[in-house]
Amino acid sequence: MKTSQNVDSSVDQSQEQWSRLSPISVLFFLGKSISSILKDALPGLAPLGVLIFNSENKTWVVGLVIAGIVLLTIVSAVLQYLFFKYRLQEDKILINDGVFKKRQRTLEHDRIQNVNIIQPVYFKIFDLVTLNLETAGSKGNEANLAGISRQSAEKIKQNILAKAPEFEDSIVENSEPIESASTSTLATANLNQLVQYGLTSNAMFWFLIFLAPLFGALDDVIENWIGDETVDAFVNSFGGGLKGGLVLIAVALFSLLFVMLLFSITGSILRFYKYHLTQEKDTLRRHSGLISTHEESLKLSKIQAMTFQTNFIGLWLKAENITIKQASTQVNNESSRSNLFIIPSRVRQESIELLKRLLGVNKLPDLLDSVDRRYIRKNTLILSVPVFILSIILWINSSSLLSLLPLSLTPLIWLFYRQKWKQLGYKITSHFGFVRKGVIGYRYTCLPLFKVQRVSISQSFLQKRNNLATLTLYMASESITIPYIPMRSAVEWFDKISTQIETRNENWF
Amino acid sequence: MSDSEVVLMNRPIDLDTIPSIANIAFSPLANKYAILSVLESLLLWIILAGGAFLLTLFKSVTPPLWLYFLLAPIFILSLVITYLGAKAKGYALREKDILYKRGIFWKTQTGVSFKRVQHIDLSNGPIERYFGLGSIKFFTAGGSHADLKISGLPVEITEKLRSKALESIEKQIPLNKVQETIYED
Repeated sequence: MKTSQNVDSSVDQSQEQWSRLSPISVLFFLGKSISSILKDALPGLAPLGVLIFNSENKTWVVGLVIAGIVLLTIVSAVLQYLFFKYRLQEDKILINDGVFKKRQRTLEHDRIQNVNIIQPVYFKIFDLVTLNLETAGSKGNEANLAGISRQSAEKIKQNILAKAPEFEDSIVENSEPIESASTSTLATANLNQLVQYGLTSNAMFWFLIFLAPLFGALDDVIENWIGDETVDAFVNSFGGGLKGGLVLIAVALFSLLFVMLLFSITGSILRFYKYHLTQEKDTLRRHSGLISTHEESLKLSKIQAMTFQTNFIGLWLKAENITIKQASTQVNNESSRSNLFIIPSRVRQESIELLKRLLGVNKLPDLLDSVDRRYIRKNTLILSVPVFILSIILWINSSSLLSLLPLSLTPLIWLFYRQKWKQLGYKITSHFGFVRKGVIGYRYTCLPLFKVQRVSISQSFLQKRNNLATLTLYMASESITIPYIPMRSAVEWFDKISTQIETRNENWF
Repeated sequence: MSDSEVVLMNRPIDLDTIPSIANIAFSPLANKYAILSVLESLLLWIILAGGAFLLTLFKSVTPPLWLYFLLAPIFILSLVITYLGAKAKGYALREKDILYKRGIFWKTQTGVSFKRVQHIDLSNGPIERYFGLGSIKFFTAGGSHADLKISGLPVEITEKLRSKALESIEKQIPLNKVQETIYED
């Protein structure tokens, strides 16, 4: 306790009152408004686009719409700034915000999961930063203090980190920011590795999600902008007829894939440029970013699991990406990507080194156990039911041989699940669990058993007959399901996890 | 992480000394709970039937006879399954954790260690209250999927379970205090 008093006195006394952010933070709220428009209102804008396209007086309507949006964004940003007030207290931060819907938040220091310092490009000139706080607890687990000076951000951060009780005495030395002798670099990434991350992460599919609202308008685009004649001309240039059409589709798909990869690589470089992962005592720090610099820190004790992931390109490049999983309230929600601590593009040996260092795993198991083959049969059968029904309906309606066409899907489903079965693997050691999943690429998760929150074992009627079970591990970061394993393995996992929870006296976060 | 910690993490464990869940005796839920579940299911059917009745009244559609023959077995089966399902549920309290099982055809066993419990809720609805029953819910940090809810226990037992759980939680290192605060209003 004495230690935290010391740290407190270093924080300005004036901060005991409610204070406002710097006026420059309007820029931050502007960015937030714009991104929320892009995210939430884009589908709404698509019909607007069509409206503009169909209207007589294009320039006038476009001007009006743009002026309206710009005005709305600016007003909402200024209002958000005016209504945002915060107050620093000894062991917590109070934030009041919200224009129409008022929000009063209390962030207790010892409940804060993660402290990030972000410097977006528009704050660089003023040398201001955004302090991003993530808490474990209920929804909306994030707070941003935008546009504060780097020094005060560092001070608040030290103050928060000091409150993690188990490391109280180590904090006094820590209050000297970075560059101390105890700091060691765990990972960096060069441009080559960033390109590899772009290729091997599945970030490229985000491009599709980004595009999705526009798909509805695709017909209009082809009809009005490209024109049927142009499409026909392309089809003809590829040989005309059905063959030409197929070639055109293939070319279009490959171009889409290419654009997606390009998008993904660009994103990777923007996010991870000058990537630097360091460890200072019990804290991990990541520093990266081309236009906006991000600095995230994470206590080692808060790591819930680590995942090595790659896709088909990564298999060929022999590169995988590591994700350090932290507690998140949005379990199973991949979109909470900002929560993820990623180490881009490692080779397996480097991954193992990091695993050893961060989780204390001595070595990966040589061989994983595979799940029962009945996993393939059950899933194939279940997915085949709609296919059969479709065939029967078609048969009743047309009684032509063509109605049996959907049945050809069944072997494909079987192949898919056989591939998944091949990739599925699990292993338990006395302190760690290992689970591998995937279809073409893989996702290999390593978790300390004592971090598991809840375990459940289910058995269907048929599984019971074959002494099989499905095991689900609920973690603070995600839930992991291992299907079709022998009942005694499931019980072994359950018992070992219980034992680990009871015998390990570290906190799980 | 220092080397000493790495070594510490690899203490060997004798497999035979690990307590196992493989042969645990579960206590059934309150007897009244099965009746209550059947009543609740009946209530749902009555609401559905009422809706259908109103529909026939105002829209003057007469449902075909075969529909009754189709629905009657489903109705009876649903009540039987509800009853058996309630009977199949059970819990087991151990020193360090609580186990819960449910399911007739798809059996599930779940366990939550008291060390991982964030907070505990007791609740009972009007029908449950009439029967003197209640539910207990153990919240963990794994999100809503990771919460364990046991319904259909006599209220005294839910209270006993709670105090037992809280007792076990308090015995732990002070870090693991039970958190009741929620950040948003």
